[in-house]
Amino acid sequence: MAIMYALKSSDNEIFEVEQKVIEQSETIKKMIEDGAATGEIPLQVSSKTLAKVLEWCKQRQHKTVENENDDNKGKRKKERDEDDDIKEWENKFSDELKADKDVLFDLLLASNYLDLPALLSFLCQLVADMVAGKMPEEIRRMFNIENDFTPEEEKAITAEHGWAFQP
Amino acid sequence: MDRQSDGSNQEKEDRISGLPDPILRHILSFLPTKDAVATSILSSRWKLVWTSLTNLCFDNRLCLQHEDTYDLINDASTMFENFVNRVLVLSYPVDINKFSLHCYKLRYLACLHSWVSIAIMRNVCEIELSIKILDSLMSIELPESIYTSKTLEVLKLKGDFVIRLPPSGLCFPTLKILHIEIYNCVDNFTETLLSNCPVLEDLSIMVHLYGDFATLNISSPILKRSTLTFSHDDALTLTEHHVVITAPNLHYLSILDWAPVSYMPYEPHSLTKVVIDFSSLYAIGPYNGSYVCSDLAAPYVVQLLKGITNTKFLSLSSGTISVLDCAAVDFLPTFPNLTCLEVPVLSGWELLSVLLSSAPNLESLFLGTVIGFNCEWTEPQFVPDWLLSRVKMIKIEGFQGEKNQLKLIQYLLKNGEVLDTLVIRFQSTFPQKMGLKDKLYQKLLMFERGSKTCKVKVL
Repeated sequence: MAIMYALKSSDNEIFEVEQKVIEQSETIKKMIEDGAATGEIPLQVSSKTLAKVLEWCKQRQHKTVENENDDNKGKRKKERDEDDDIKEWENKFSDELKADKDVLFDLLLASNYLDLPALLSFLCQLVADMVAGKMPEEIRRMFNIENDFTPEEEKAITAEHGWAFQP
Repeated sequence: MDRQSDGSNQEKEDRISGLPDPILRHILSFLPTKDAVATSILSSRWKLVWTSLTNLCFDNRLCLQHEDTYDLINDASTMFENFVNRVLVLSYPVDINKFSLHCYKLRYLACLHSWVSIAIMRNVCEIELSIKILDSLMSIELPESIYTSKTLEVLKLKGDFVIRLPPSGLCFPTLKILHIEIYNCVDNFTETLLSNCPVLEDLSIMVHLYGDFATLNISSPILKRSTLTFSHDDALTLTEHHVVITAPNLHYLSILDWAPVSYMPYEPHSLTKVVIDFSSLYAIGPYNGSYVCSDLAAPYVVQLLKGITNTKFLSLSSGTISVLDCAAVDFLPTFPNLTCLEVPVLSGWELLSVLLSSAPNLESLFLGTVIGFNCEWTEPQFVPDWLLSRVKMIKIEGFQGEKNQLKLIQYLLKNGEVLDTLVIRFQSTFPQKMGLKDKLYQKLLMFERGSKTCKVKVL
């Protein structure tokens, strides 16, 4: 039987999760090792975000378990096959996040707080892809960034890094 | 921790600027340095975030593409040079992890030298240079400090670079991965290189056959991966070259070849993956209508195959297959460990049968579809043994729903009695029109299956 842990979200919802799934989070792993995790593990993450985090962790877990059980013979073929499935899943996951940027940023903060390096990298890459090749004005609009420079300051920056602003 | 904003708030709030610096830096690290520096103008919050980047990647190819007069090139080049200089000066004086420079129409070698030297001084681990010098056929020398760097692990060079190996003693003490192009190959170049680099595990060489070498020796006890590319515009007039590979730890070997080169791999016991691409010079192929005789190349391919019979994975390009096909090769060595074979779809089955009968333990077959695939596929007289009793997984790339492709899939499903998975991937350009993919998928599901447990996946 797999060992289960109960995670409690900031809005008091309980999530029952297998140890192996949740140990991907260095933060939680440490809490478990330190013995601080008897009963419910309280987390500063909302239930909506935590559900998303666990969705990711389960997908990753799925991958590692199957690879462990593989005998060497079929490993290559399975890896390639799985890569396709994971790509599909990740694309869907990204599309949902792009559509709801609030969830994306909540998830970014949560992956940082829970110390989930793979998820953090994945999300940072996603944001970078959204920014790449866009004009400053487009980026500001996309993320509601307020331009607090005076026209003079803006001019000075453009002059300093001229080539960066070439189309 | 996170803020559940209601709908009205969502439109206004600037969440990204509220992220902590490490996360913003992480995001910028995935951008070309040009785009990362450009974020400095977004707002005062963003002005200095880029300065702690540790991966610096510069690329002026797109910007210079259309500048054709001297004045325009000069203006654009000056701007680019100033930019690189300023970024190197202004970026926080931390170690640089990766320095990458793709420079088209470089004016001054001195610039390159100073940039690379700064990167080395800042303990760079990875250097990637792709350089074309403006109006010059001159070879590019590297600054001397690169040969003694104690942090450099990866060096990838594109362009006419000269590697000045020290006459004695070691160079590149920490270098694990080296990718180079050679325009003037001399006989003992790779020997000296490999014996001087103490930890080199991955060597990729692209040889432009303008030099006069006869034999290239790839000999190393620690080399794990190697990619060899030989190119020449006029291979048929060239004399033969030899490549001798003695690398007992080699796992991966990839050969891309447009020239008459004979390969002699000795005892590559560790070899698990081999990719062979003898390309179109020998065989324009039956698909294009015109024939260039490939009798010349077939013995080279067969000889190479004989040397790598240990491999578990083998990928053959359509050019390689054409070479074997045109020369009517009907015998190949046995590959006792081969479990996975990757080949393009063939018009006939003869060669595939020869190939597969040489692989008694094959389990997976990857069929890549040649672009513009429309060759007739005819059902063979007898169902081949490999399909009846050996191959458990077949993957087909570049599916377009074309009639011949459907016929082939129908045949494979019907006769693949031990098949457990058939994966079909649509061509990336396949129209996303609603329902078209689904319709084809439904059609595929209706096909009779020889194996009751066979799964069909469409991607």
